[in-house]
Amino acid sequence: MTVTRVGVLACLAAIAAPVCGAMRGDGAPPGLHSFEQVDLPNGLKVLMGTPVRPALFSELLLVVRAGTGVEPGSPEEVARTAAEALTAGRRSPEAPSVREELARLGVTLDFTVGREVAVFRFAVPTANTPRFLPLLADLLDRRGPTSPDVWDEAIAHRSAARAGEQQDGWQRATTQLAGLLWKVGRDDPSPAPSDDRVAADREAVAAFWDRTYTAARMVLSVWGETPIAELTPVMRREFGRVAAGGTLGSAPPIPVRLKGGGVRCVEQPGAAPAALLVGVGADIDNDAAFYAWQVAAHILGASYNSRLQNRLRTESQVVYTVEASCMPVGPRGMTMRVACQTDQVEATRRIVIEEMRRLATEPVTAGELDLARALLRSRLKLDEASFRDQFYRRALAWLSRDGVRDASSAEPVLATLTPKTLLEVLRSTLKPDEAATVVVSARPESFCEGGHDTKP
Amino acid sequence: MTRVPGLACLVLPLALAGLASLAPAGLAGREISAGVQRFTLPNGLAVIVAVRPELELAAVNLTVDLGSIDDPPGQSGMAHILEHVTLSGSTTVGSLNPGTEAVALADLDRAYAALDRERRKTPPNPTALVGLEQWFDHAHQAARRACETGEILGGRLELRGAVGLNATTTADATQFFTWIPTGDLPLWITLEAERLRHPVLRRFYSEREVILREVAGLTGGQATLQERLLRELFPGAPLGQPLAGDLDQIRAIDRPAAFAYFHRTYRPERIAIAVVGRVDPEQVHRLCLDAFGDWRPEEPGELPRARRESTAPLAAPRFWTFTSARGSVVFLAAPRPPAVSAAALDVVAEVINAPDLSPLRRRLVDEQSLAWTVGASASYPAQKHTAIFLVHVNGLAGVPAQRLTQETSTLLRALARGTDDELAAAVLAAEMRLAAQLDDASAFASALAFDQAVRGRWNASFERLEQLRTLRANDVRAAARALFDALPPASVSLGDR
Repeated sequence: MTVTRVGVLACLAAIAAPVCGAMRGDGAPPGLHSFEQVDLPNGLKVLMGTPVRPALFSELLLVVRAGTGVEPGSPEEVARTAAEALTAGRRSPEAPSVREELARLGVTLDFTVGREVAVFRFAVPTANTPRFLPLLADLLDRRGPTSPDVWDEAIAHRSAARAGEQQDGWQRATTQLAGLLWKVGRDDPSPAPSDDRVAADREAVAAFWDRTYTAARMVLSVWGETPIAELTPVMRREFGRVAAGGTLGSAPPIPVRLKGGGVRCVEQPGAAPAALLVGVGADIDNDAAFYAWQVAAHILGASYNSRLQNRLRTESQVVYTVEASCMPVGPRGMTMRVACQTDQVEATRRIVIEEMRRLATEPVTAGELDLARALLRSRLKLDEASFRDQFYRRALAWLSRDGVRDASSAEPVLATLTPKTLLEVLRSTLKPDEAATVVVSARPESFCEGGHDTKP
Repeated sequence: MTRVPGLACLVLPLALAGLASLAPAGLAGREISAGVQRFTLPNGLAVIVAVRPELELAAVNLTVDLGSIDDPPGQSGMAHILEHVTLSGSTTVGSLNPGTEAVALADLDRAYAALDRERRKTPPNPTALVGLEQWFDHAHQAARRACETGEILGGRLELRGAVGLNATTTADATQFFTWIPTGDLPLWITLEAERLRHPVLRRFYSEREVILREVAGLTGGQATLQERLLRELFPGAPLGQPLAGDLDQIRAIDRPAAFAYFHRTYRPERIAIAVVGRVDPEQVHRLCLDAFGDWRPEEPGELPRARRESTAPLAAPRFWTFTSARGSVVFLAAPRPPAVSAAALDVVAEVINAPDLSPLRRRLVDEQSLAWTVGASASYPAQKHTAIFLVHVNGLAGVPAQRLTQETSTLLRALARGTDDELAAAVLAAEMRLAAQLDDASAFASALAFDQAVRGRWNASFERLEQLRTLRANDVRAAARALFDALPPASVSLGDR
């Protein structure tokens, strides 16, 4: 089996931005020939669909309210290790490892663990779907104290995954940037960089699994060629045995925005040219501001004629490419992030901050706004065409305490946005002076000297 | 779709083991390919259309049968340069005054040539150099003033909502692709025709700087291990060239040289366009016919280098090793056995790659902690030319290269003794890898255009799925034997890094 820890699912966190208000969940997602929802007695919700176009394989999306922020006082690593446990160990002492069983069925898995939910996406050969479903049910039905090997193996997998994250300069930089901009946990008084996270222990992981991997906290979606009439009795029988569990629990703590900015420099062999990340956070509490920030990111650096693309690539050729993006943080936070590789870190950073400042002080042109609107509309349409996104949104509507932003709220905002109203939003929310910077480089950058925090 | 039995069919009496088809045919390749239409314009340009009613944006891809292994000797990076600079518009699209701009660009070419000649003198005349640099700067500014600012084609397409706009150069081909709102498909086709039929290659020298930065970012400014290996294996041959381009040779390519190469190699008969979306195939055909149909280049063309020049295949498998403080890297380069099917080689690669199936990974990474990663490619570095079967093992620091080589050798030879169950799982993994590519609209468009332009058959990926479905265990074992039975006892060191 191929297991990818982020992969195609990484985008889901950005697509279904959490927010106040629930999404519409009625009717079949577009592109499905048939669709059915089944609520099992244990609380597990099952969504099934058959696409209009032929599907080459079945896909299953399992969303569990088992994210890093759902348990008071539980370290992030516990939730991440619990997710590894889903495919760890063996079903019985005589059986091959679960991963080998999955591999022999041709199953591939992507998974990611967010603040509220863990998301697992399986791709399964159609012919093997009936054999895979009981296997998945068996895995979800495992309870902690009965299988210590599972937790030990999960801890080992998580440890290997963390080692990989440490090798990945961009991932390290992203983690560092988040730590400079947001205080996420309930109990952490300071923004501890995730590089310093401690490994989870077996008992903590098992207890977390027992409390969170329960039917009432799960939504399982299946789409592919298998007829719903064939799937329904299997789903009822197999997933009806998953322990019901309790309630969804309380909402995770709302991330607190840190206003100190700051610079973090990380040395990493081979990181040449240096990777530069500049980010700024904001408290965003309405649709207008949410989409205004998305528009602003496009104008700043998410198109071929964005301001940063023009200044850093077309005019000065100091970067090969530059990209700005917006990432929601909790129900009402947002990070605008600019990423590039450059050997002129200081000059590039200065230009990024200048352009952020210009967004907050001067109106954009009508042409810039039109371009950003067109791109955002297209991205929303692509999301709508994705079954993965559609089913994920539906799952979040049930499982998330933060709620899910209704994509249909975008168009009214985009249609009425003007350079003036955009400026009003950005003037009150975008604070370039609070921007944080992370540099990952092969050797110490001169930029990092003189009081900047350097972490080898 | 066709319903087929599951893997239970693999539990066979021993006498039959190895004779049965390995794959349960769980994928609907045939049905999906049935909805694809191909048109060929009179000049040879191919158009492939797959209807996907659920998509409001169409995934589009234009592929040219021209990759890095086609780069002319001494001009490594040429295909990569053309990928960048052909996106700068056309003689009219993006120009503020085509006549003025043509004069300015011609002056720029003269200025660069004079400057380059002076720089090559030993020593250059400092006074002359200053004057020539001023001439070049002035000509550069004049050329810039004659065209629009910003990204010309990208800007036009993005204004209509095109997203994911990008291009890539591989060993085999150059691909241009984007998502475009269906209603704006005519604009994309028109702009593609404009830039290819009336190229201008504006902003050449500034874009060359961007490319140098890109290549330096990819390689760290020195040959990668795989580039060094290919250079050793195929000295002077197309396959021996750096994939992203050689920094010094890129610096030596000027605009007239790029133009000349463009006219010789960007030909309609070597281009395929694929469109996947909510579109009418006949309408797409008509649009392409209108835009490209009468494109008949006046200049004589030439076959891409990799199609003209043959490379002697490796005579036998060879191990190569590199050593650094971070650990040893072992490469096994094996000739692709001519009598073995490509599907069987894919499955052998999958047996090595699949994390939870690979005996190499289990032994070297999980059990013995000798390596941190293991991988294989069935056709490296290219598809359209003599290629090799490549295995690489990245050892942990402190593990001697020779030990890693010996362990790898033993494990590779054992692959020919894989059980039916193990091989069936590898077939499924190969199928799923291919299926995932065909399921994503953008990747599907890429596969259709690539297969048509490079392999001459838009449905080559579907054929590969069919081959996988009928593969037998003994086919895979035979492939493993042909690849690994004659492994050498020791490796050749390519030095430290």
